[in-house]
Amino acid sequence: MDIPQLTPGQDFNLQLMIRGRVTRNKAILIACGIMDSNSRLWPIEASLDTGFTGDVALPISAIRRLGLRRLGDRLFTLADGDRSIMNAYFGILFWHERPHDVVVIQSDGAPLIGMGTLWGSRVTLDALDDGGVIIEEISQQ
Amino acid sequence: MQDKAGTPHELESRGEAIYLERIRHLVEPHEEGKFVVIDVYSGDYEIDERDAVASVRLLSRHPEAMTWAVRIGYPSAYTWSGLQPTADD
Repeated sequence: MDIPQLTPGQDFNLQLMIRGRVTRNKAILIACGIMDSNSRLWPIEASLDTGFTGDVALPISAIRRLGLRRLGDRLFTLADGDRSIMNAYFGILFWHERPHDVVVIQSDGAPLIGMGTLWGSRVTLDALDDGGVIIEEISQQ
Repeated sequence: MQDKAGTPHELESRGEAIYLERIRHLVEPHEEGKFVVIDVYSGDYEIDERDAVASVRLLSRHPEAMTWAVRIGYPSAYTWSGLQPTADD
């Protein structure tokens, strides 16, 4: 999995309401943007993973292309109870139309958005093939 | 995963030692759930509800920081596909 082959900023509109789709494979895909080390915005398509309590997970190829700054390591408890130490990087995600500081975890799989990023949002989705997904910011009263 | 900061287990051991010896008694239990982000080189640290926010504050003081994070009251900073037990579980 890699950063999509798009020119940074091209055909990419930052939206307060984030939209996505549900796939036949039961993945929830959303489009958002992440900044590289030269402050260029790159679009990414990421899966929502509510079992991941971190902010963002990206493969190392994407982390290198973005030139993200290594933060150190973070300890995870996995589904089977084992613990795993993972590389952590600093990133800036565009989320609800604003830059949002995030910890990016190096993973072997596709880009993920976790509960750390979703916190404070309302997610509405149609759980069927090509179902719609809407993520809205919950206004803080 | 190895780099100038050493192996992952070196970061873990340094970070956990700093937390247990110098920070834990100051933050438990009243700051439960927050992240403590520790620069394992300087021993300096920051606390916040969000790891990224604490990390940015720490990096502003220590641009070369290499960090380890502890979630106060929990056995790991994060979970992946599982419920997070507390330290008491």
